[in-house]
Amino acid sequence: MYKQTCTNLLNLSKDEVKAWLDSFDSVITDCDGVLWVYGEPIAGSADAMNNLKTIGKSIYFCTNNSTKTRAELLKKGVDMGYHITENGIISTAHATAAYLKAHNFSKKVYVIGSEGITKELDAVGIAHTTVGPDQMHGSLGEFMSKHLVLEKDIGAVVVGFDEHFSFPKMTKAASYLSDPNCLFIATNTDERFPMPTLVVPGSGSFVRAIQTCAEREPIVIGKPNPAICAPLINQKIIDPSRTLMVGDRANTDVLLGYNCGFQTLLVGTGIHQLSDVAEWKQSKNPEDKKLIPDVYLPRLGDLLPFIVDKATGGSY
Amino acid sequence: MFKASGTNLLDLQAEQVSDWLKSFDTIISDGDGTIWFDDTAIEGAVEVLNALQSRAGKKIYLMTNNGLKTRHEIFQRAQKLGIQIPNESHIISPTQTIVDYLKQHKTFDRTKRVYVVGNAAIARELTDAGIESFGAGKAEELQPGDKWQEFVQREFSTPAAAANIGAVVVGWDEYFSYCKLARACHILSSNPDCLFLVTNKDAVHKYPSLHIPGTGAFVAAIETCAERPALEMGKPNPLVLEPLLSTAALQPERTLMIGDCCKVDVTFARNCNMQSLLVGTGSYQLDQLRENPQLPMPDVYLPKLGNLLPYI
Repeated sequence: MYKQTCTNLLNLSKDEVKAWLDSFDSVITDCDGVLWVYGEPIAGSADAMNNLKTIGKSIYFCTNNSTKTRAELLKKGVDMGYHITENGIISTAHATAAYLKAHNFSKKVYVIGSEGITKELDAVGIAHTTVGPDQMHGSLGEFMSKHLVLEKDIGAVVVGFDEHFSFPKMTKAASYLSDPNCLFIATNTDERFPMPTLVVPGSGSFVRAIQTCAEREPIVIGKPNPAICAPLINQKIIDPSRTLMVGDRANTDVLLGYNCGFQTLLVGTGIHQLSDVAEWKQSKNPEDKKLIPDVYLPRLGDLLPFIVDKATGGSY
Repeated sequence: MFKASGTNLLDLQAEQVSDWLKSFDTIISDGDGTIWFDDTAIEGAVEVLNALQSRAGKKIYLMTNNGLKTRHEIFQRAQKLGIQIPNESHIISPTQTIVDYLKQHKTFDRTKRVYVVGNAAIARELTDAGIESFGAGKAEELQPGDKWQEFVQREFSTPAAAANIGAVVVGWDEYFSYCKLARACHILSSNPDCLFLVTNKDAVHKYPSLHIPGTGAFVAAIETCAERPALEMGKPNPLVLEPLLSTAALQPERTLMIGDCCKVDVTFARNCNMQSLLVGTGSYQLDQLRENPQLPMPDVYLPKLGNLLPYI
């Protein structure tokens, strides 16, 4: 409903919003910028999601954040009051490990990232290098002749968020990727990591650096690549036309919705605002149209009165 | 002459080469892979440049994308190898181009400092020009036990972190790290007037058993987060020819660009309407050009610059 119009639900009548609530059975929501910002819960989001579950919607979290395993994301969600199970969590670290497993990967992975990735690889029995600091010692000549050790059985390079990103890591990745048979996988390409007051680099910055010196394009696992939701769709667990994607970032969340045939809701508590949507509406670039959500709310919690109304049949 | 044909000069008659030599008055030659490998001259290259100057009356300039030395240091290398260019102003290098650009830019003044994600040569060139800088040649890493979220809050929450910084300059940096990337992004996103310059955008340097990231890879990370492009202060940006054009020191159509890299040197020649000679002492030989039609084709080719000596 309201396809790519960015209709503000607060401008609709109560009956119109209830009809819209009836138009989907599953809800997939982004986390950073929708449910929480960094460590702080966004007011009203937990109540809204839990009540959507109460009125019969199936709930999924879908995050591009590769620094946590599904178990860690589950704990964070439960601690913040969400009624969610591990199977309801779609994360890029988990999906990356699943991708390699599905392709019968049997070599070793060079990881530029965090334990969020390596623990998920461990869980499916895929060998990998260790994460953490890898700092330059001595001169470049010494590095090249003595300290740089390239392993022989690396079959893939996986790049995600890495606060220990460094020149030695870039050199290793570029060298491994000079073999065209070595896979190049990016967990996601978000340019900035969501933080309330500061602009800080996201995985996209690290991926772009490796893309440049390896002169290769990566397979991108996370949003907006529809592959991240493919298992749910292919196994008929969700029906795309009756699935709502909720997010704060248009070029990952809304675009994922577009790519999968979902309905889309943009909330204003994160990256993109109504002013951005206005620009895309004016733009002549057809790609920008894919970023326009169906509907909009200032924040997810604004949906609560309508859900409660539905749940109680309008009477308390 | 021979426009974009990749003609091997060795396949021509002597008279044809002679005619070709008369079609230009000025020569701009690349450094690494064309006339020297680090501090060692490529066989015959120095003799050819000197002969082109003294016997054929050509004006010679050296133009390098190497941001690891100041212009003065490159001139010293040229002198040591016996290249007889008149003075330093015949050398065009990224560190000097950066200084010249900052000095004439309206938003940059002496109250401003420069944050350098790059090597110490950039700082040396800036200091020589009276411009204050910080960060060059230094490592900046997360300390053990320090979380990145705490680092960025601590370092970037005060106005001082981005105050009075008029430019972020990126060069080749073996100490490139998350912390430097985050600092550059913070400075650039805090101040839209802050200039964003890079010595060159070479993507990678390929050695037999390993590939080393080029400056292009470091700057790509910063451009992605800052959501702004860096201004390239090296080939193939025609900007680097501006000083010579504005003083009418040369005429592009009667200038020959000599280099070993198609994507940088030949593209630069094209961008500036100059003639081009590709030498095979770098990554590209003639058969590779034939097999890869998407590479920019030079006008003429020689296996090495020294091959030209008998014709001068």
